Amino acid sequence: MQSKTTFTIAGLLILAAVLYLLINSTGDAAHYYLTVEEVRRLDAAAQQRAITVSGAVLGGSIVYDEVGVLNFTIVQLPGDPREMERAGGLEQAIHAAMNDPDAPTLEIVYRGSPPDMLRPEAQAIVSGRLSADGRFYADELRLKCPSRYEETPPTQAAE
Amino acid sequence: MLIEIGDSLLMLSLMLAVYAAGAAGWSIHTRDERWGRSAQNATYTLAGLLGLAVAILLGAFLSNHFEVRYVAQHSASDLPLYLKMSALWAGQEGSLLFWGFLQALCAAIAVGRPPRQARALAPWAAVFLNLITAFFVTTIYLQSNPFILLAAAPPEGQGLNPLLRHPGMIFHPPALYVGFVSLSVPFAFTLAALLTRRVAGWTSALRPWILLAWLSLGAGLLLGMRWAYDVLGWGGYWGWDPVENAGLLPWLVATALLHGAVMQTEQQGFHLWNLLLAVAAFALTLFGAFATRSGAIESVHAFADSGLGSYFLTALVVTLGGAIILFIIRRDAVREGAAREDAPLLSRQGSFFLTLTLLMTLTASVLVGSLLPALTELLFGRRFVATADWFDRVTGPQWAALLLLMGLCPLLGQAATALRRLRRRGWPLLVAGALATVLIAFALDLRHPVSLVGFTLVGMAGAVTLAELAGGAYHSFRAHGLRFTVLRQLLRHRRRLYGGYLVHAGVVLMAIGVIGTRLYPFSQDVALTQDRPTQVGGYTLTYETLRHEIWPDHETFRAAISVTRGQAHAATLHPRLERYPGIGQNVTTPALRYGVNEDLYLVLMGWNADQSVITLRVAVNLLINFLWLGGATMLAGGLLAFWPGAEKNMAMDQ
Repeated sequence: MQSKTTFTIAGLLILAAVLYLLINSTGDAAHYYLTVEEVRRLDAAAQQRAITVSGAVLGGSIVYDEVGVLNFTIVQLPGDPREMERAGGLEQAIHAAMNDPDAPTLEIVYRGSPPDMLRPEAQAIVSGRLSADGRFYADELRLKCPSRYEETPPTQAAE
Repeated sequence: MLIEIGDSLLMLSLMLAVYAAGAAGWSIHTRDERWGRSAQNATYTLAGLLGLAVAILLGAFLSNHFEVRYVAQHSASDLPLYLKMSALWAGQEGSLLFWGFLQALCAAIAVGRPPRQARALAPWAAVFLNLITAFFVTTIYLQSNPFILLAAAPPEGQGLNPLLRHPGMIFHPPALYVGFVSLSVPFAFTLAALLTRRVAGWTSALRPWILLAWLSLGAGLLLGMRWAYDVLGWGGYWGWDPVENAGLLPWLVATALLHGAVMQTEQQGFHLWNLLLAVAAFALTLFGAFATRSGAIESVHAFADSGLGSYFLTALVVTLGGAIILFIIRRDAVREGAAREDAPLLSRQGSFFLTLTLLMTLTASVLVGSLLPALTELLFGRRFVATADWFDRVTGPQWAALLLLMGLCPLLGQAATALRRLRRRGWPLLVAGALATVLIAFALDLRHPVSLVGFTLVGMAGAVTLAELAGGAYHSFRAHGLRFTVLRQLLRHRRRLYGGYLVHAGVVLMAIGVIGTRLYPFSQDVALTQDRPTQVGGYTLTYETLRHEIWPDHETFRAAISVTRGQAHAATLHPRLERYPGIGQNVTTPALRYGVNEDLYLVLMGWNADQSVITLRVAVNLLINFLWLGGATMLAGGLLAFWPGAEKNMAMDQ
């Protein structure tokens, strides 16, 4: 066979395989990425699925029982980057959320010690499941700090 | 006073960069050498000016000039010297200035000493390199100026984030920046080649730059991984965070480009590949800057959203748009460079084609994963986020296929003889290698089916790489006797080849580490009562003491854990927790017991009121030291190939 044809077929086969992997993994291993408000509105069926939710850590809500269970509350942040920009950037959006008594909130329960970057007004990106008691049981916590230190180090992830 | 000079230096640099690009362009138009020399001199001066600006900022750090906002935000007078130096790039403004300086420096070197075979392209390359510097200086000056003064100097700076107070942080960011800027050289020469219709024969001339980029990105990524492992205390080394990916993407493309350059040197086509790869590599460095410095991509360690994102996005669009238009205009010249001879897939040429294809699908997969929330919202109206599991599942099979190719490729010769060679000497090696590793895995009780597939591939690639490394030495020794000088000659004359195989050996070792840590993870939270031994993960841990120390800016809790394995006392480990109340920051520092087979990794999580019970996270990281060993081997191989002098012996390689 002409090499060009073989090469093209081989290349297309690889592409197809990778495309399959991408689609398949997005169906199985990707999480719904939701805001606090969207999590609050989830129906029972969707609650079965692992989800990732992002919100701002509410000041004074961090409680760690010193033997391994961490509780804190996150507040609604806009999910859409453009909406975030309209609010004046992440820092301003978090300030606004902190001062809005009507903003939706979500209580997070995590088995593990507080990650080093967990502090009030950090942005928390939390993966886990919503429980019937309305609390969110996290198995992964990632944090992002908007102010003070601009560069936060790679992956403060906890699993 | 000096600070105002720094600010004017930026303005001056911008004008000079524009002039240098213009003068280089004018020298091409008028064919007047004097303009070309003037452009060259301007490029050198530009590097000097930006170097001076960096030096001034560094001086402000060293002499505690807290009236400079950037210094006040990232330093304090009691910071040790090496941290004051690394604080230079701890924040956005300083790191971008440093990046801009390196960009100018790299432009000066590339313009001043253009590769021999690509000298005709140098004037156009000078235009593009200076335009890139101009872009950086504009961005720094308008959006991210480190020389902004505060109305009143605070008595003390805010200090450096304790998480960044680590020696690894001195080398990690500069290594990545050196990698990023080095990729601008192949990019500039690619555009120059398209414009002048000289698409063949110059990629190999740029090999030192590609290799430099590959080496420094690799070193930067490895340092970052090691630092995450030693400091961040979550037991892992790679989290598939979009910002980590931003460093990985150009590294993958640089890897592809290195292989493409080898093929082009061997005159087997691949011109189009190399042109596209050079553009993609540079575009991905801009994408990385965009990912890190805009709020648009969900990442853990993005810089604060500062309007910089739109600058880099514009640069990205201009770069890609311009390159695509150039490719279309010059499509006839590109087509001339296409592969001439036919080769079956199972040949050296074919396996390089497959390698490049896989490296590019890997790059695309990681890119898609980083952009998944935005992409899925656009396509399906719902936002999905890629978990680490997603990345492992998507990229795992592709890494495995690359490993397979790494084992097969050296066995395949040129087209016609490929199959015969494979049959003659390949099969025994492949089978022996695979059997050996799988048997070892069984002996160590590692029986996860996916890992056995991995170990098979590792064995095959490892056996072939070792055979190639040893084979050359064997023949030389047989011909010239077993003498040290023979080995030295061999290393000197076949430096590139041996460097390459050493890199492959490093990849094989790293693969063992990745298989061990990803497929046999062990992590458990345990509560330990004082002086009561507890069994976990094959170790017996005993909590002995918890010491509390008070420092000027923080307090430390330091546990002493006695570790025994079997009957023997193995180590006493001290995981600790530091609290910085002033800035509300905790730093948990893990304690490790290093072993050949596995690391024991302890993180102090907490304790009860009377400190009679502590909670630990215990992780056992299987085979992880193969990862570090492999990383070091890979870099050593890259260095061997990069070392000056290898160039002259090119003829010997073939």
